[in-house]
Amino acid sequence: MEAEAAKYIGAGIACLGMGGAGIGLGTIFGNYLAGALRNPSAADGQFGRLIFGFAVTEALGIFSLLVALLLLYAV
Amino acid sequence: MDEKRRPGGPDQEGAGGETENGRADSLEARRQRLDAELLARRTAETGRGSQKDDRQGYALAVKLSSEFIAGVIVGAVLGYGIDRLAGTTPWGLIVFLILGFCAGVLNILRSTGAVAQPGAARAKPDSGRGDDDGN
Repeated sequence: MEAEAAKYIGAGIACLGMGGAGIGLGTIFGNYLAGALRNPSAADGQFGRLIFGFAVTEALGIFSLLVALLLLYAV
Repeated sequence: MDEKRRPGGPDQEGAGGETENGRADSLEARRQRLDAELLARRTAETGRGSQKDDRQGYALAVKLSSEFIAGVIVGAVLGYGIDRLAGTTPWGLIVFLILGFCAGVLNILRSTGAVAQPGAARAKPDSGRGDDDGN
């Protein structure tokens, strides 16, 4: 029973990593929006890099979600 | 600027002042023309955007995030189901969750037009950056 409790606690702690991904995504999209408001004509050209940064940042959040799901269902 | 042309105006000092006033008038006329052009262009741009653009932005944001999350969730469910069926307990979830993440990113790239839709090259050659992004 104690291992069961530790599993749930570990899954909850692993989900804290998604908060870090959220901070990173906020930084990325906020900076993109600030730059796009300064120079709207150059915003469309950087959209691919925005999506690339979004994917790389979100991947780390997905990894922590993966750890949480593994702890909940697969261990 | 009409007061400057009157004789005995505040900054009129002989012939030199006359040419100075003429230059100032032409500068003033050019500035007014520029103001009118800028105003016309600005009203044209705001008339094109505003409320319709707002709604399209919300729709685009909701669409992109839901497509990404749908890819991840479908990957996780597929991996969990394959694990339960085949008994390969952690590995199906790991592999299919990462594959679902990749599919979500690919969904986003497709819906923004950075990557062509599958089969769009055969159907219509110029439909790569489709009509869903408002451009």
